Amino acid sequence: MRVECLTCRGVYNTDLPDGTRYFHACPPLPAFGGAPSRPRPDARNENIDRAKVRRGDSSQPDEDRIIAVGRGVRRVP
Amino acid sequence: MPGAPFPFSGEDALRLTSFNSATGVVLTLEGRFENHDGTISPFSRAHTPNTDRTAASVTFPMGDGRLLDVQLRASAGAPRRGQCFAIVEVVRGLESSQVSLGALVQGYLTDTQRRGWPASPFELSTEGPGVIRSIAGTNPAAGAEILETVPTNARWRLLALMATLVTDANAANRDAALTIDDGTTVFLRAPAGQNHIASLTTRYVWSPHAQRFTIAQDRTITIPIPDLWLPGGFRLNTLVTNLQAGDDWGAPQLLVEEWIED
Repeated sequence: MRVECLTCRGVYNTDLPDGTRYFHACPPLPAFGGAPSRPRPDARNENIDRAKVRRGDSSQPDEDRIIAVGRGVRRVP
Repeated sequence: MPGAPFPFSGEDALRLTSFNSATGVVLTLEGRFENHDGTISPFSRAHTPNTDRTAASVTFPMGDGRLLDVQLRASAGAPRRGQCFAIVEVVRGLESSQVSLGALVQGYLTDTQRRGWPASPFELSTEGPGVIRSIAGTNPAAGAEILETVPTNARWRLLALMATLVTDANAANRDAALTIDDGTTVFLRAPAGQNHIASLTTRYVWSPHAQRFTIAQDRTITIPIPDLWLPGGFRLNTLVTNLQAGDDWGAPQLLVEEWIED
């Protein structure tokens, strides 16, 4: 499934051709004019937060297991 | 002695724990169990691992008797070495009060290679070759940098990262670099060291096997980086000096060797 991150507007495939999942994370805010880059508010990070994983609970939604949901994603063609 | 039948009291059970990144995998645990009355019962139990490299475990009560042998195989899916790691243990008790009494099997499984007790040696998840993966990353919005993370419970050896930067018409000399951090603090910065002017498309390739080189015909710049093993949470981030709002990175393509690392 191809999606757009509603926080950073990056576009990516959630499933890769090799049969593995892709875990998106938003980049920091761009640094224009020599300013230092800053963390992006509401950043999405789909990597698994091990502290949130309920072991043995296969019904736990992915969004409950990831580091940060941010503003979510939307499906794109 | 190693390989002798493993005695089970009625309280003991087999626990299978898996760490997996491939989709569609089902593991099957099979073997023979000698019951208290001397009869021998074959058994077969199925288990579906998670696909995000987190641990998934299941416990199979065995009864009173002796375990004669056990094997573990991927009965569905096509995991490659580096993608599906499993441990089989003898445990006592159920749920959170389980106590591990002994490990029988530990190592990677593929769709053609199985592991068994008493035959297979124990293996660490980070030893030997991993799986070679070609990964298409996120295509960032214009004016944004590339950021890719090593997934939780993975270890990457970065073999190459290629990405194309298209600059807008604003006059400025950009210089693209790849930075790598531990999730917070940058420990490596590998700049291209070449001006990237306005309205120009250039392909950048960072690789431990590259020399610093510019291929003029198709505007490709190769940049060497150290041979690095990166644990989960480490980040690969481009950093362009004088980046303009209309400058646009394409989706990066990464080549990595990957292992499970919990």
